[in-house]
Amino acid sequence: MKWRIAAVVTLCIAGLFSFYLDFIWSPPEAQMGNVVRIMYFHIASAVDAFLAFGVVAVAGFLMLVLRFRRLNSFVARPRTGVFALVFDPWAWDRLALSSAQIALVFTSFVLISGSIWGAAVWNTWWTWDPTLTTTLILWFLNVGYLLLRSSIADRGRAATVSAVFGIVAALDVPLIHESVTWWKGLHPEVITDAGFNMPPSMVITLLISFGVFLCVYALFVYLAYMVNWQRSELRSIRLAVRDRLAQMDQASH
Amino acid sequence: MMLSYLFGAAAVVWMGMLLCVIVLLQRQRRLALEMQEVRRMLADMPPANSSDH
Repeated sequence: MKWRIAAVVTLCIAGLFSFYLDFIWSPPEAQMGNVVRIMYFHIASAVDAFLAFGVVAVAGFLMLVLRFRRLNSFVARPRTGVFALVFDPWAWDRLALSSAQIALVFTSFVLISGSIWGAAVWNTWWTWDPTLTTTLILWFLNVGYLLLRSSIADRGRAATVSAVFGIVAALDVPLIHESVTWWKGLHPEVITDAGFNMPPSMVITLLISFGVFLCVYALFVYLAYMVNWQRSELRSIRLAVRDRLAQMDQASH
Repeated sequence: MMLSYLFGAAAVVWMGMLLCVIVLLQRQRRLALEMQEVRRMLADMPPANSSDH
């Protein structure tokens, strides 16, 4: 527990540094002024949301491959230690679930901060711009993924169905990225093929913000993974208690 | 007015992250305590094959 608190404290310090760069060190933009500073945590949240959904798809795919025993004929499977987790389909399933939970948090941040930014710059809280619409679709897909999982009682079936859903839903991520160039809506193209479309001081601030947000994502996924693991462990211990009570009851009659 | 948009968006994201980490740590702690309690209950129970009869 202590190192987790230390990780949270370190991240808070890194967050404060990033906060300082966002709000004080980086210059205001010529047209948008200080509102441009929303970009640093809006884009960083978007990167985290896309990464999280990518992890959902990859972890779901690996879970399917391992569960249906395609890899076992090629790889000697370690039975103990940390590496056993790599070959455990349920560990990948838990990772997919944890990443989906965190993806929902970051996708909500993207939508809310983008909406506020839109209100300041475009004078509207929402517009059916292709990038905004595809991001909203990602949010609904994310909610759908979590609802689908919780609505299926059988664990194996829930894992398989949600893994397939997660892989298909992740196709929306490249669509969001490309929507800026394909349909040319209101949303600006910040990262082009030529690199970042902004001055170096803003690029440095944005990159540091990316770094801090990626660490936050890693910490969140780890904590969510542990919570999901604890929940499944608790469920199996409770089942053991129930079985023991049933056996005792049977023996007493 | 513009600054209120900026601080509003910052508050949502940064406070949201802080809230998220607090919720996750609290939930983890609560589940750990619950697991400990249920494990203790399981350990205190007599073995399945033992019976007074």
